[in-house]
Amino acid sequence: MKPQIILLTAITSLGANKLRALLTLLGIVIGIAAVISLLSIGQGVQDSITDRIQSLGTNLLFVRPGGTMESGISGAQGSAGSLTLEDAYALKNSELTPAVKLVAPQLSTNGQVIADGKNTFTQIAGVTPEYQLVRDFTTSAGQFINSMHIDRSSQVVVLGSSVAEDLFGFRTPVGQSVRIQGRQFVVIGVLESKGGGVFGSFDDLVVAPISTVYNRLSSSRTTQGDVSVQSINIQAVDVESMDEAEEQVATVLRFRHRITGDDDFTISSQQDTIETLEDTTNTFIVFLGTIAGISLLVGGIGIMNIMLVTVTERTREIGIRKAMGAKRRDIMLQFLSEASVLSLSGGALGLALGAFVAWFLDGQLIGGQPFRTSFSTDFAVLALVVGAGIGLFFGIYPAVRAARLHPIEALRYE
Amino acid sequence: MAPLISLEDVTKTYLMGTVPVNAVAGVSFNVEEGELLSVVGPSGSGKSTLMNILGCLDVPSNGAYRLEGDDVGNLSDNQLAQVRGRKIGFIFQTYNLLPRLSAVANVQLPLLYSGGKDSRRRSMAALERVGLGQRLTHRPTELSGGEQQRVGIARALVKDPSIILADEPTGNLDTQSGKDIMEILHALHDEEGITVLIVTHDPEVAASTDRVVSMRDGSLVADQTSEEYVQERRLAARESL
Repeated sequence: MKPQIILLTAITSLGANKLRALLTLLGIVIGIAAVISLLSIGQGVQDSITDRIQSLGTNLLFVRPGGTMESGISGAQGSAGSLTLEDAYALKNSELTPAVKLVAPQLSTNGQVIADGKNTFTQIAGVTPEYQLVRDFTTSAGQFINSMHIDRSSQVVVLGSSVAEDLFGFRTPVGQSVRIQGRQFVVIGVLESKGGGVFGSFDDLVVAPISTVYNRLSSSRTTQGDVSVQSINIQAVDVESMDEAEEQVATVLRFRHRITGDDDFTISSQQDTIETLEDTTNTFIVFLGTIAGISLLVGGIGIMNIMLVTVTERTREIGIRKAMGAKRRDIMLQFLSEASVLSLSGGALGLALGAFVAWFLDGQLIGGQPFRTSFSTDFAVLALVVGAGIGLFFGIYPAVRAARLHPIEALRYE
Repeated sequence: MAPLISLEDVTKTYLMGTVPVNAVAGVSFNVEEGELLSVVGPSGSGKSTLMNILGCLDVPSNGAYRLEGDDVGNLSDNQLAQVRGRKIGFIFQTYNLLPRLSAVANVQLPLLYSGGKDSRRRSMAALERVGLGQRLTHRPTELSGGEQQRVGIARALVKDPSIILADEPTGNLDTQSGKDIMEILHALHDEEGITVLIVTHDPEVAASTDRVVSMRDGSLVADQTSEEYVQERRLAARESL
């Protein structure tokens, strides 16, 4: 039998019982739509996380101190205080680190920031001018920390956009003063908003000269009297030299720290962070997809059920067709194509519905933040392949049953 | 030349529960090309089983069935389907048309399975032949019983079968429609030399054919010309008076 005739027969047969076909279809439509929209949501979450990390800057390496080792008990990562300001200067000036473009040490503390009776508790990041370039910050008003501020340990701050809003509302913060730990600071700039992130906002901080932080706010020094820093942000020359830069930084630090065994610092790249988080979100996406897949399974069972009913109802038709010369294969193809037409059209409609849901949710404000979904054509291919696959899988048993009917018994069936 | 149909000691055994029952027990007879014959017998005489075997819907348990010289007993399911599709034209008591298809689509059905070319034109011609040229697109439910049976005949005819097997073709029809159907079958035989085998209860139908094969309890009890058959029935009727 020609394929177009088989297809036409399938559509005609389904058309004979429109409501039933439609309800069966609905099971697949809902299943596929659920898979598509959940995958889009998962992909959207992943994309926004990746974007967020990339908004930190480009080609970044983060150096942090290792854990403390006290009486054989390991402390948390970064607790050792083994990384110093001198290390940062060495990395910046060493001839051994040609792949390093910028070095930005950071020494942070937390504290209450007060202005005009309003106050907020936030992170106070002690940084150098390079920090602005490395972390890709721009100022929306005023200026950033410069080297003169560092040299003089000036009592100046640059406010993150949300801190500025909390303290000053719509007034201009630049030129105003704030109090931190009883000291007066002049606001010299406000940072452009970077938006909220999964790990808190990048706008909720106050930036001060690193020298001001260690001289006036938080004195954390090593036993040798060097200033400990929490991290050193490093920007590599370009994306290809990331590995090279990491190796050079490690070499210099090992030499300076006279390390023969385990490193007392860790270097992680932006890419590492993205990959780790992608692993996590991938698990999340698979989990969502599996849940949606269950509804698809239920839809498939619906198809199988209806096809079994159809085969029983049409036993006599099968007998007639067999008497007219239909082979087993002809009968099987007839019922298999009916199941496939059902599930494939269910897949197509589900795809449309899922894509619509994804499109509708994209950019909606949920909890004050724009929700993001990301639809990809891979999903469309997936939906259609899965749709057809379900029809074939759940249609095969009813079709085989139909094909195996004995012509005489089928003809006698009332 | 080999006969069109040759049955040699054909037996069909069914299991009724655990007891084997011979629905057809050792039947032998030939049908030559161009014959018009009927098979008669009371219910349970095995004539339906015999017809199923002749129509390749079933295979004999024992014995040999040759159709145009080829042994049909050892064919696979698919090969049997192919033989049915190409060589056998069925006419059923209950018509067995597909209710959702138009008359012409019903007639076309066997050609779709056997892959015949020009199937629509041939189907329309077959419907013309049985006098339904004006009713091509009607569905079975829009046709009278007699018309439905004529669609059935057209469907049997369209593939140019080696033999037409008619199972009680007039059984569900009123007298006039029954006569019309028999006329068409006679015409096909007389004018086109098509071999027709009719299984029937109706002595009148049997008497109108050239040869009457009588069955009882699975066996062939008489194989007569229709004159002999009519004669015997008269005698039997007189004796029972």
